[in-house]
Amino acid sequence: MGDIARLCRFIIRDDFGDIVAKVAKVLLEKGRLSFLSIRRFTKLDVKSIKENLVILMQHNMVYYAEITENNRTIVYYHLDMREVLARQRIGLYLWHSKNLHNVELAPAIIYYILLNGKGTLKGVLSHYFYEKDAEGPDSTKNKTIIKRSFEKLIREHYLLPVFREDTISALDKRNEQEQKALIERQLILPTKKEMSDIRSKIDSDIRNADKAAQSLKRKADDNLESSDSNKMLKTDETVDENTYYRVNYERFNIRSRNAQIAAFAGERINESAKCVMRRILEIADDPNSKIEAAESGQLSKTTITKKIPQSARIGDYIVFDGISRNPSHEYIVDQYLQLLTEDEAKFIRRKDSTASYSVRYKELCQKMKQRKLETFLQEKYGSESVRILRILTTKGKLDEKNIASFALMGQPETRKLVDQLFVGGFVELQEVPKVAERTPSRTFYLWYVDLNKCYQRMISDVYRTLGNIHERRLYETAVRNGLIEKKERAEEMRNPDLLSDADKDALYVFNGLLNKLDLAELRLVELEMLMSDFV
Amino acid sequence: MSSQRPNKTSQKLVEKSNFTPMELKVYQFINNNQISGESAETVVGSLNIKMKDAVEIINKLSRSGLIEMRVQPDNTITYYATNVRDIQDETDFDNDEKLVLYHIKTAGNEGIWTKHIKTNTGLHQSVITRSLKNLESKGIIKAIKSIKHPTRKIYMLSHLTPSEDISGGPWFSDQKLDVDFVESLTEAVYRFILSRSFPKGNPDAVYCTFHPSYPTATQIHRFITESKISDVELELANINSLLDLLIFDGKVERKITVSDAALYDLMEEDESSGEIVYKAIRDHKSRGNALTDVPCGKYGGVVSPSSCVYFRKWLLDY
Repeated sequence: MGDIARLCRFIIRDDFGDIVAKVAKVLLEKGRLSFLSIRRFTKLDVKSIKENLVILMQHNMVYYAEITENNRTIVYYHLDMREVLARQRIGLYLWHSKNLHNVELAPAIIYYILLNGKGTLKGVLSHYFYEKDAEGPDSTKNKTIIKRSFEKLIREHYLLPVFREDTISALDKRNEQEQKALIERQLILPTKKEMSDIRSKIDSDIRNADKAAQSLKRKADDNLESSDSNKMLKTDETVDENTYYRVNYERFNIRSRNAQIAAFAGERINESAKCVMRRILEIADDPNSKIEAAESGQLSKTTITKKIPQSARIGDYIVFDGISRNPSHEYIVDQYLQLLTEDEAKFIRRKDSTASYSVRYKELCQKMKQRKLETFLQEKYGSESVRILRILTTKGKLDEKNIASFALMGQPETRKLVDQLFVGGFVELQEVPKVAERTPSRTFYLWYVDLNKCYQRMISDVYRTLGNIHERRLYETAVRNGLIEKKERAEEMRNPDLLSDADKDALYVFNGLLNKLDLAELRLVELEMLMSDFV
Repeated sequence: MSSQRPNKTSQKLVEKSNFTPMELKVYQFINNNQISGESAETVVGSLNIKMKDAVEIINKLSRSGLIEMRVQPDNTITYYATNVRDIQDETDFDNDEKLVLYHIKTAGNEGIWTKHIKTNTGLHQSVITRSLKNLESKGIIKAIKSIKHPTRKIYMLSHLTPSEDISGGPWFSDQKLDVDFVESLTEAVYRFILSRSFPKGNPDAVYCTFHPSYPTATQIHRFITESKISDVELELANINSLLDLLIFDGKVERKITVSDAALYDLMEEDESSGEIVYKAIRDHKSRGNALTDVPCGKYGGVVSPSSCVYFRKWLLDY
């Protein structure tokens, strides 16, 4: 937990500066706090604390709850670490927004909203036109395009509407509903069963409410009821300019996952398989799909074949022996579908004796995670450690001698390696006493692997390393403060001669260094997404 | 091997003992053919005795340890006269030594641990040590080491080769696992599979699903034997364990071939058409791991990232 909190602090510091980070720090360290406590711990003045909290709330990181204690209402603030961690992925989300080919201007809109935490269509319009300074004849046309794109992003659930209640912490909302339900049913001392009934009802309510909130039409209806000015809206323009929207991270997480799956297919088979897999995932994706979904819906072979263009030339990379004539496009696609089905990772699964396929996200992600774990172990402990891991995952619990004989390794080497893995937390030990007394000589020591524990172990390493990268970046920047000032001055004066050759060399090294850190960070964020979010 | 030629001494020994002439005759007959042994049928045929008698005589000879039974590859059973050279000078040994020798002899090519000799004979440790020393100095027995119990002192007759359980099979030399041998052989197997897993020319191309030339374990075995990569004789089971190793290493995957027709006709599930073949997995190790590419993931340890030397080295290393 310490590593995550440290990382969150760095992220907020990077994005919002020192003072916001100060407020975030106390919330991270002490958990939920009242305003008074925040003030006591940060020693900041009331005004800046208020401002900071507003910033954090605007960016969906802080939630509040009003609690009545002894007839006084106290407002508690709570920082959601997951929201903070998600900020690291913003770069990736932007990159994915560029691939939303069916929505014009998607990158511009997504960029605006990510920049502001949440935003309205009005905001996008004014921002865009202020920036571009376009008041020409195109402006109305552009406005319609933006509106249309905005609406499409909502329809495809890339944007989610936010309301005032959304800033109340989810837990508190639940508690409140629970209390309400108890009062309604006039239960003073509810039994366990009654309680679980109430909870499951609230759970399903929340789930349904989510769906309703996401639906654009329903949203429009609400507006028609609530505000008179919107009655004038045309049927095709259902977006309320003043409703706030935020980016739906889940949709982008799904896109990231799909990209990773396609890349995995490319790694295991070839580029053409990657192309086919990407198309399949595109077809399988719909606005309502959830990242937790274990399996996609059924996709027919015809749909898949149609979706893959002839121009992709996937047939160039497959060698048919014994077929003289040129195979047809359908036949080649069929071959790739088979390759994807037959691969050990089981990219797609064919429904028995029908021509339809499904993607098993859950198993695929497990495979990808295991693969990441294997490359990690390989780099850290050598390739024999991967061998031991795979022996233990396929065979279950084994003692040292068995491992050595399967791995064809000497017993002393095996013992040393297993010991290292044990210290690293990647293998577990199970003692099985032969007799009632537990003397070591009369006990079997069996090793086994708990993959989920391994992943947890890796994630915590990832968080620690990400924190280190931030820290190192701060350090590298700090030691070059003079140089950076010089550079900024030179840029301001538009005179590159202000920099000496030595300065230029130093800047070159500095930029290379930053690039390296940024790239490492990006790759780690991708790994973190796979390990923590893709189930 | 000395056991392959007829042995005068053992014959004398047989003559000395109280065997019937017929039994002696059978023994001599078997003793004369040390190369391929004699089956019960040939004994009956050449010596002109009844099958029932022949069986009785063979059983008696076998019981007294003068002949032994071996099963030939074609499942026929033949009998060989045992080599009794080691007991030729039995008269030279005292009773303790004879007793110890008897137990070593019965243990065959599995050998026997000194502690077991002690429990079996009931002799005092010092007596056993002395007897073993004497027998060993006369070259009748030898001490061997077992891979299962490296610390145990195990004895067996000097002319026998230890069984695979003791020696560990082809992977072991001098009771130690020959890691380099295993590694290089695995590499050879991997290269063979790799060479047949991907089309040549284009590095990104794949074979179609009904590609026939993925090798089976038998083919790999044949390749290893014929290419004379190693002098050690390997069996199919050994090759299989190498293949398992490659699978555990994630370098090779196992596939079951299904004929093209069977794929399209799933109703007709013909299990027998499947054959297990091996295919190499594309090597993408160079991609590395996001975590271990950063020094923190690789080395760990508690140092400040600002002052970490690994970090410095990594950042300045272009």
